[in-house]
Amino acid sequence: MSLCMDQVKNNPSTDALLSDICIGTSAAPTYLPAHYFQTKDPSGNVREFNLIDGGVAANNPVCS
Amino acid sequence: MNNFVDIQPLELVRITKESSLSFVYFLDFDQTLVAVSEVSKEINRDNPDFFPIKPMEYDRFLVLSLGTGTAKSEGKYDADEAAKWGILGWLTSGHCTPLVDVSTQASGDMVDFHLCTVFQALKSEENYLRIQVYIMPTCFSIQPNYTNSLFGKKRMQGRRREVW
Repeated sequence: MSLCMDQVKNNPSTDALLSDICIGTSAAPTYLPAHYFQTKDPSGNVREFNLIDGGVAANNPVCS
Repeated sequence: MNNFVDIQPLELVRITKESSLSFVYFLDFDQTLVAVSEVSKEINRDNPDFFPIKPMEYDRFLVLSLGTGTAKSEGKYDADEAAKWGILGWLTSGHCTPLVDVSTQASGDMVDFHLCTVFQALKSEENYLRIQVYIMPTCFSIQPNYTNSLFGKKRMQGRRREVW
C-alpha cells in the first residue's frame, strides 16, 4: 500500500478511485468488459485509462 | 579465457542464437531474459569461462538487445469498443487479432520493464542497451516481411532507447 501511495505522490494522475481500479483489474477478456475512466491531477490535466485485466500481460504476480 | 569482458557478449550472442532455434515467435521477446538467465545459470554451475563472477553481478554483464522492428503502438482499441467484444471480437477485430496484439506487446514490455528495473536497481544501467525500430503501423500479430529488399524500402519511423 505504501508503494501505491508513493506512486500517487510522484504521479498524481494515478490517483484513481478504488472502484475504478477494481473494475479495471477484473476485466479479463471475454469474462468482464473492459473499463474506461478518467482521472484529473491538481493542475487539471485529464488522463484517460482504457483498462483490461493485467493478467494478460503478467500472469504471475510474483514476476510483476 | 579469464578476460570476462571479451567472453561475455559472445556468450550472450551464442545463447540467444541457440534459443532462437527452438523458440517460436511468441517467445521472441523473452530472449534477452533467457540469455541473462542462461549466463547466470552457467555461473552457478561454476563454468570456468565465468570463474570470478557472482550470478547477480550485473555490472559485469554487458547486454545488447537488438529488436527486429515492431509495429508502432497506435492505441487503436479503446475500452468502450473492447467492452463489446465476445470471444470472436477478441480474436478478430478490424482485420487484426486484439488478444494476440495485446499479449505479445505486453509480454515484450514486461521483459523490457523487468530488465530495466533490475539493471537500474543493481546500478548497472549503463550495461544494458535495448534498441528497437518502429517499422510501420500494422497489427502486432502480423509478422512484417523482413526480406532485404522490403526492409530496405521501409522508412524507419523512429527508434528508441529503452531506458526508464
